[in-house]
Amino acid sequence: MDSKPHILIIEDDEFLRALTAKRLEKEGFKVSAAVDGESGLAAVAELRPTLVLLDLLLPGVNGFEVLERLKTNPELKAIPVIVFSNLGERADIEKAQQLGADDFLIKANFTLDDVMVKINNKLKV
Amino acid sequence: MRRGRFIFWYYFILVAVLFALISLGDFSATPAGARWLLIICLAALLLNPFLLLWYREVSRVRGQMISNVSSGNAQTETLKIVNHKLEVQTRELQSKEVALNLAHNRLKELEQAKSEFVSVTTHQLRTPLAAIKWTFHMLLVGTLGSVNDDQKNFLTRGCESTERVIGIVNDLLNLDYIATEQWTYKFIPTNLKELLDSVMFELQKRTREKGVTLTLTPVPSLPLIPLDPIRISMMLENLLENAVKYTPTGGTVTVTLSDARLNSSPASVEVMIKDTGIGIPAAEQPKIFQRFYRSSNALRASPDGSGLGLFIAKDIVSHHQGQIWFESVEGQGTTFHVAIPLVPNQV
Repeated sequence: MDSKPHILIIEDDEFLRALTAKRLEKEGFKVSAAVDGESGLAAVAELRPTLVLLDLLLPGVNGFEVLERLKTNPELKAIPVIVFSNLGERADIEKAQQLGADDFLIKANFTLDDVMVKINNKLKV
Repeated sequence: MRRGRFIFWYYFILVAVLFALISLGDFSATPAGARWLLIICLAALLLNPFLLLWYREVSRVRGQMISNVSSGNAQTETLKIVNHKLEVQTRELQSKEVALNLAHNRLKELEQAKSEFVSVTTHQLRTPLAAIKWTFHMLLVGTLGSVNDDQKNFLTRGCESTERVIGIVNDLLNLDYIATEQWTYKFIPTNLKELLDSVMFELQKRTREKGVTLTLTPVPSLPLIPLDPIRISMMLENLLENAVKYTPTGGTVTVTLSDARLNSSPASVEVMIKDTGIGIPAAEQPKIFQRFYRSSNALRASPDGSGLGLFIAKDIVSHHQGQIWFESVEGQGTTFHVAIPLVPNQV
């Protein structure tokens, strides 16, 4: 059994996905990735990651719906979800919080080091 | 009137004839019929002035009625003309209203299209900007391998440039939210000192790197203030970033929270941000809160910036029913004041 925390990235932008994965691996995490909402939901159910990094603007099933379906599933709702998105208005943040997001980051306003801090804080709790 | 005179003369002649008859004959010897005739004539003589007055009154009322009818007819005609004119004008106004509504709807559509364009563009820009920012940062901190000092210097400049573009994109997006009134405000009783601490904490690294001293003077005991923490943080961030940006190395930025206005009307808390920076030229001071406006010396000192920071700050303060003002001397520094009332009328 791998003791490394397992982070699932659900992100449609290939380069951002690759950068994030690189930084997470450097931090010592096991990393998986999904490119859209539907495959993301399937990956969560199958892999049961330690934490999910979720983009909101996704093709097909969007991030809000993914979040809702994860947080209303009794088997999956305990998995922390950090939303990282280009959306960042109050309504988006509040909607994500209401649906059960554990944290919310606007991609361009943070560095991946900041994201690591958030993930580590969440995993410590 | 003519008929009245006729009756008058008629009775006058009748009475004169009767008197002549009486004076010519023996009145006692006259038959009873003639005496009755005489009595009637005398009664008629007495009634004559009253009959005349009555006739005159009747004539006057009749004349007035005739005059009223003809004047009424004239008025009816005038009213018809006025009514017609009004109908024409109403039709014109209605067609103008339709045209105005069309123009208004067209403007709304254009505004909506512009807003959507800004929103989509800025959101779309954030993805590649995040990618550039993250890459520069990962290279700079050595996540992707070691870099020498020269490379670090270039990467640092790259990071700064990316931050500037992200700042402009965020400002444009906020400006669009303000223009389309999409920003909502949530007033929460807030500890302003703690809010200020967290904004200043975020700026510490930048001030240290620049060699500017950022200090908060001792804060008096203040009540919780109903404000929107997210927006007020943004406003303070804008003012503090400006203060640090336009203060040369070795300068100071001093932040003061004052309770001096707690007993004034309206009771408010005042934040003062005083810097020893380049100041604002006197002639340009009235324009400083205009959107996209940047003073000439600010442009020389730092080419980056959207010119939206103070515009956004003022909008945020006005949504709190507060006041923002400043004093500045070019070459010596600027002090910005923000007064936030304790009981805002929530917008």
